[in-house]
Amino acid sequence: MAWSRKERRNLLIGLGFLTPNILGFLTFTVIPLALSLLLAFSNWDLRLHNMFRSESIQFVGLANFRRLLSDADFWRFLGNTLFLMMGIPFSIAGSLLLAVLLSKDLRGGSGGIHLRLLVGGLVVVSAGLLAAIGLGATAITILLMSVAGLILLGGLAGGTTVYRTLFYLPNFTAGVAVYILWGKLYNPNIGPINTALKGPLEGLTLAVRNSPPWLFPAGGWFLSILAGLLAVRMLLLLHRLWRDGELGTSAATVPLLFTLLPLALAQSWLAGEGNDLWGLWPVQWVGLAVVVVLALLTGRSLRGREFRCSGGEGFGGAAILSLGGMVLQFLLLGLANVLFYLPAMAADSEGLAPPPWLASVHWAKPAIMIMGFWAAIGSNNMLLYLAGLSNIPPELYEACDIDGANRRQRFWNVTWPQLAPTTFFIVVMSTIGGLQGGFETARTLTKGGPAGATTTLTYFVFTEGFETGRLGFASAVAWTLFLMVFVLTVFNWKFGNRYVND
Amino acid sequence: MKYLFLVLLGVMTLATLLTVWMSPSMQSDIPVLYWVTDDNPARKEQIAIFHRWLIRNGHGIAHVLNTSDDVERFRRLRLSPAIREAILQTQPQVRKIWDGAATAADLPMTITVPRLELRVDTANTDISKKIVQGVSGVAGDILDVADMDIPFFVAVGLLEDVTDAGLRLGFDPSQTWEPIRDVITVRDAQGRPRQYAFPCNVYSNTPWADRNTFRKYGVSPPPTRWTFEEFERIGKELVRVANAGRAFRSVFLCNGVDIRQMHCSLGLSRYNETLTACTLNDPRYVRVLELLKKWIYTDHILPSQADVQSFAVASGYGGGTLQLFNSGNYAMFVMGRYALIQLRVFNEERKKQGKPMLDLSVHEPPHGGFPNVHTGTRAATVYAGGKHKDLAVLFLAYLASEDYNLQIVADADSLPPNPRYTDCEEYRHPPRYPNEWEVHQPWVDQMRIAIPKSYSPYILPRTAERIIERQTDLFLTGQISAVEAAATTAAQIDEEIQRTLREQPRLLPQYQEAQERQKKIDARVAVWKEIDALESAGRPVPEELRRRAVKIPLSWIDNVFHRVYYSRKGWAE
Repeated sequence: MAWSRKERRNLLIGLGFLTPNILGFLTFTVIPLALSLLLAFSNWDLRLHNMFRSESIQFVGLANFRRLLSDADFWRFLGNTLFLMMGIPFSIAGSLLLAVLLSKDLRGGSGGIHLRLLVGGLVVVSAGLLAAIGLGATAITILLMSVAGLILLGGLAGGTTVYRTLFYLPNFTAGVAVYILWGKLYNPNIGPINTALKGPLEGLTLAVRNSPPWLFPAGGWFLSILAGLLAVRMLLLLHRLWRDGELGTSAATVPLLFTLLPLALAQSWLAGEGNDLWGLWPVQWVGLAVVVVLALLTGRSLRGREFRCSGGEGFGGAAILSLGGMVLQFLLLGLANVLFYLPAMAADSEGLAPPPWLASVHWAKPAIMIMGFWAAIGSNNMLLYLAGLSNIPPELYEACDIDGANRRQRFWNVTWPQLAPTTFFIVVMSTIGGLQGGFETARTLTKGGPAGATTTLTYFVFTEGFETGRLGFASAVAWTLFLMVFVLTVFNWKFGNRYVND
Repeated sequence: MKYLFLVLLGVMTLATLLTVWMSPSMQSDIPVLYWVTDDNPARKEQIAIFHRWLIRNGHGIAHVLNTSDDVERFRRLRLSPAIREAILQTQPQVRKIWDGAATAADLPMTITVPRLELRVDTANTDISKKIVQGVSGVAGDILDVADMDIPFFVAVGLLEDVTDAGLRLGFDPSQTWEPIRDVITVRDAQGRPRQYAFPCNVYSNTPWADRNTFRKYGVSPPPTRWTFEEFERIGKELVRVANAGRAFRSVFLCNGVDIRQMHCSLGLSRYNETLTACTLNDPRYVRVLELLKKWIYTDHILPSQADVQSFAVASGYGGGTLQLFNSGNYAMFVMGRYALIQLRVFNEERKKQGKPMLDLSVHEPPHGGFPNVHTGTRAATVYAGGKHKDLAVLFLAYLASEDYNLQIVADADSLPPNPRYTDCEEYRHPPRYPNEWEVHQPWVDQMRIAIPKSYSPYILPRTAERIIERQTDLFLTGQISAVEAAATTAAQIDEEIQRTLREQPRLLPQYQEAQERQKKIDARVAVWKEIDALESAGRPVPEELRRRAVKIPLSWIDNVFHRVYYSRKGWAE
C-alpha cells in the first residue's frame, strides 16, 4: 500500500515527537538491561576491567550463577527478603479495611459515626489538655494526643477527604525522611514506641509475677491448639475443594505444604533447640493431631471424589487461602511461644523490657515490617481499593439486603469477590515490590545490619556491585531476582487470574 | 500541537545551552579543578590559602601589562571571585586595574594569576560514587581517599602514580610521618613502593577524657598508659557511681574501643606476616571479643548499640559522640585530634553560659601488653582520568607546604601532614587556647607507638571489615560463641582471599612467593616464641635454642604491624 505524502509527513512528525522518548528509553533502559544480562555471564570486575585496565572481559558461562547458588549469604539475604514479604498479606488486608472505612460518608453518613467521632475527638483533646496542665506527661504524649484529637475532629469538618489525605501522606513523603523519623520512633529508651510500651510492660511484669504459674503456659497451650485447629480447618477446606472438583490434585500440593509448614518448622525448631521437653510442649501434641487429621483425610481421599477436574484447577484461590492461613498460624505459634517464655522473662530482675528494635538481630526485621505496614496500608493499594469499591454495582448490595444478609455476608459474598481483580493486581505488584524492596531502609537506616539481619537481595546487589566491584556477580544476583519476580508473576497470572474470574 | 512541541524543544535547547554556558569551565579563563572532599567549613579557608600559595610559589601565569590594551585585555579575563580575591590579597596593586583607576604611570605592571582554580565537591564523597564516576572517566580531579581504600583505588587504576611529581615538587613520602609512608605508597609488580597520595591530615584514634566528669563522680582519672585491667576497673567504678539511682544507664566510661588495636596490643594482627592469610582464629582474638562483650553487656562500661540509639543526638560535626561527651554521658571518647574543632565550640558555649570548661586530657588506648595506637590518614589523591593531572599534583605539593600545615595546626584538624610543623609553639601552646596546652604534645608522642592498619592485597578492606563486623555482631547478640566468631571470621576472610586469587590469577605468582616466604618466617618465629614463652615463665632458655634464633629480615615482612612488633621485640632486623 502506497503511503500518501501527507501520511508520510504525519508519520515523520509523529516519529519526531517520539524520538526523544525512544532514545531515552533505549539509552537508559533497554541498553543497560541488555548489557547487564551479558554481564551476568561475564567476569566483569571493576578492579580488572575499566577504562584504566586493559584486561579483557571473559565469558564465564553460568559460573556466577553457580557461585550464587552456593553462596550462603545469597540464601540468607533471600530469606531476609522473604521474611519481610510476610508483611504483605497484612498490608493488603489493612489497605482493604482502610478503603472500606474511608468509603463511608462521614458527614452525610449515619449520625452514629458522627457522634462517635465527635466524642472521640473531644475525649482525646481533653486528655491531652489534662496531661498538659499537670499530669506529668511528656511533651511527645501531649503532642500525639493533640494530633489524634485534631485528626478525629478534622474528620468531622472535612469528612473522608481529610482522612484519605492523611492516610495517603506516607506515600508522598520522601522515603529517607520517613526512615529517619522511624529511626527516632524506634529509639530503644526514649523513643515514643518504647516509652508507650514501658508502662504496660511494667504492669504486665507484675501481673505475670503475681499470676498462678500455670496461667500463661495455658495461654500458650490455647494458642497452639488454635494454630492446630486453623491448620485442620485449612486441611478440611482444601479437602472439600478437592472433593467438589474445585481443586486439582497437583494444584493441592503447594497449598497443603503451606498449611503444614508452620507446625513442621515449629517441630524442627524445637528439635533443633535440643529441648528435653519432648512430649510436654503442646505444639508437639498439636502437630500430632494435625498429622492424624491429615492421615484420616488421605484415607478418605483414597476412596475417590465426587467431581473431577484438571490437575492445576483452582490453584490460585487455594494458594491465597493457604498463604493467609500460614501467616496466621505463624502468628499464633509465635504468640504461644511468647506466652510460654513470659513467666521466665518476667522473673528476670529487670522484668519485661521493650525490644531494642533496630539494634537487635531478632527485632530488626519485624521493626522494618511494621514500618512497611504503616507505609503500605495508606498507599496506592488503598486508592485502588477505593476505586474498586466505588465500582461495585449498588444493586448487588440491594439484593443482599432483600435476602437479609448481614454485614459480614455482604462483605464476603459481594465486596470481596467484586474486588478480586483489584486484589489480584495488588498481590502481583506487592510481590514484585516485596522482592525488590528493602534497599532504602538498609542503606539509610540499618546498613544491612545488625549482623546482616536486614540485608535484602537488592542491597546485596548494591554492595557486591559498587562496594566490591564485582559487576558480573552482582548482575547475576540481579537477574536471579528478576527471574524470581518473573516466575512469581507468571504464577500469579496463570493461577490468580482464574481465581479472579470465578 | 506540533508547534507547541517545537516551542518546547526550542526552550529546552536554549536551557541546555545556557546551562553549558554557565558551567564553571566556560566562565573561567583558567582551568577549574574539583576536590572531592567532606563538607567541612575549613575547606574554604584551605582553598583560599592554596590559591595564594600558587601565586607566591611560582605556580601562576604572569600577565605583563605594558599598555592600556594589555590592561583592557587583563580586565576582560574571566576569573571567579575566589581567584580575584587571591590575586588582590597577594598583589594589592591589581585593584587599580579592576577599578579602572590605573594610569600610564602605574605601568608596566606584572600580575600573576594562579594556574588553576580549585573548587570543592562535597556531593560525591560516597565511596560508591567515587568508584562509579572514576571508572566512567568523570570523577573529580582530586579525590580524598580514606587510607583503607587507597589499595583498592590503586588496584582499580583510579589513582595517578605521583612518585616522580612528589620528588620534583617536594611532597614525597619522606615529608610525612613515618608510619604513614606505608599508607600512601603501594608496591608495584616489581615490589617497588610507588606513591599515590599525600596526607591532608594524620590521625590516631585515641581516648580523650574530661577530667571534670571523673571528679564529679569521685573517680580518679585514668593514667596516660593503661592496661585492659585498669580500663575495666576504672570503668566499673565510674559507671557504678554515675548511674546509681537512674532509671536507665546513661553514663559510660567511653563510647567504644578499637578491637583491632586491642588484639594488636596482644601481639596479634589481622593477617599473617605476608598478608596471605587471616590470623584471627586465635585465642587472643577470642579474648578481645569476650572482653568487648563483657564491657558492653556485663560491666556496662561501653554503650551497646541500643544504648547509643537511645541518645537522641546525632547532629553536629563529629556526630552524637561529641555531644554526649560534652553532656557528660561519655567520660571518654575515641577520636582523632580533629575532635578539637567541635570541642572548641563547646568550650565557647560553656564560657558564655558560665559553665566550667572541659578539662581535657589525652590517653593511650588500653593495652594487653604491647602499647600501640592505630594511625591513618585522609589523603588527597590525583584522579588518573582527570584532564589536568599536571595541575592537580600542585595541590599535593601544597599539602606538604608550610602554609597548609600551619593552617591544620591552627584549626586542629588532626595532625599536620608534615611532622616538622608540630615542633613549634603554635602547635604546642596555641595562644588562643591556653586550656588546651596539655593535649597537643600527647598526639605527637603517641605517633612513636603508632602503627598503620594492615591491609591484604588479596581481599578488599571493606569486604574484610564487613565479615568481621557481621561475626562480631552475631557474637555480641548471642547467636554464636566467641570461638565460633573467630573461626568463622578467619575462614570467611581466607575464602575471600582464595576467591580473589581465582578471579585475578595474575596475583598468583606473588601470592605463591609470599607463601614460600611465610614458611621461612613461621620457622623463625616459632623459635622466638619458644624463647619468649620460657622467658615469660621465668625459666632458663637453653643455649642451643638461642643459637637457633635467627632474626627475620624486615624485607621478608609485608605486614607493617609485624615489622614494628618484631622490631620492638628484637626478632627482626
